Amino acid sequence: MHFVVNEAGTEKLFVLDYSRQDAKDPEISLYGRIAFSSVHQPKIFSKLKETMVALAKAEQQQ
Amino acid sequence: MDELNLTEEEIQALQDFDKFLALDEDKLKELMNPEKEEEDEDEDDDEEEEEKEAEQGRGVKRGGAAGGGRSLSHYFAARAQPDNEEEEEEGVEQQQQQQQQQDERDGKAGKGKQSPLPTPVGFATLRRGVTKEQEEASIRAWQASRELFFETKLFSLAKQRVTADIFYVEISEFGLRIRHQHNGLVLRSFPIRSIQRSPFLPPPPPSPLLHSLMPCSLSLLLLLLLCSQDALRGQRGRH
Repeated sequence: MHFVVNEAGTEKLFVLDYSRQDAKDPEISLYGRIAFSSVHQPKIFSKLKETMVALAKAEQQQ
Repeated sequence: MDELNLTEEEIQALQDFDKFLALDEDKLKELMNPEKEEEDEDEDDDEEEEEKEAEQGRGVKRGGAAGGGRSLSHYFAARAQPDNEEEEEEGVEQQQQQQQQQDERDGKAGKGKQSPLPTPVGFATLRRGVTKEQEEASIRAWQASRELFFETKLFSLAKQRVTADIFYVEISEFGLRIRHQHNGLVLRSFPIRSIQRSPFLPPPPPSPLLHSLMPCSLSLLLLLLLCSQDALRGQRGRH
């Protein structure tokens, strides 16, 4: 997962990569990428951010 | 011990007779077993009596074959009990084999009956109807619950186009799922562990805020140390 911010700081992205591991090739390879923008999908972005922050805090507490 | 001293000819004759008896016993059993199947349990006593009679008859035969010799009579007397035991064992084994064969036949017959079970007329259509109903129910449940998820369209960077279909994004502490609009089938799933431990995730860079604060924090620490030392000196001078 990548958290990307543009230079102006106006748009933020949560980038999720999905990988593929073939039986022939044991190495994990990048298969695709999907991103959620704070501008175009503000609800999804805020929910994703909220969830990730909550999880990070829970891990820190542990 | 003198009675057991037999000549080679006598021993050969005994062995041949044993073989003959064995053949005769097999034939007798073959004749007796079908009778046993047909007869009831009440007739078992009669069979035992018959067997006893047959054994007695064999004893007579043996006696006759021995020619009334004392050594031969002793030989048959010594062999009489083990022969009976062997006969019993053989009889039990044969019965078990017959039962197994019968069971196998019954099993085969049962399997034969089970395998070509006639499927009821319209069974396929009924099954199709049930599966269709189940699908419809699951779709209805999905449509009722999809309000909880986030509706979005996907933009393809490769095609530079927004998809015509609407997708629903489910976000929870378990991860992220992108579902189809109509049936709720999962298009793509990102478990939370895979998100947090992505193999393509670069190592976290040092926080820019911390990086910028580092020199300041060091100088602040030095200042604080100096100040504290001065304060201590001043206190000592006053005392």
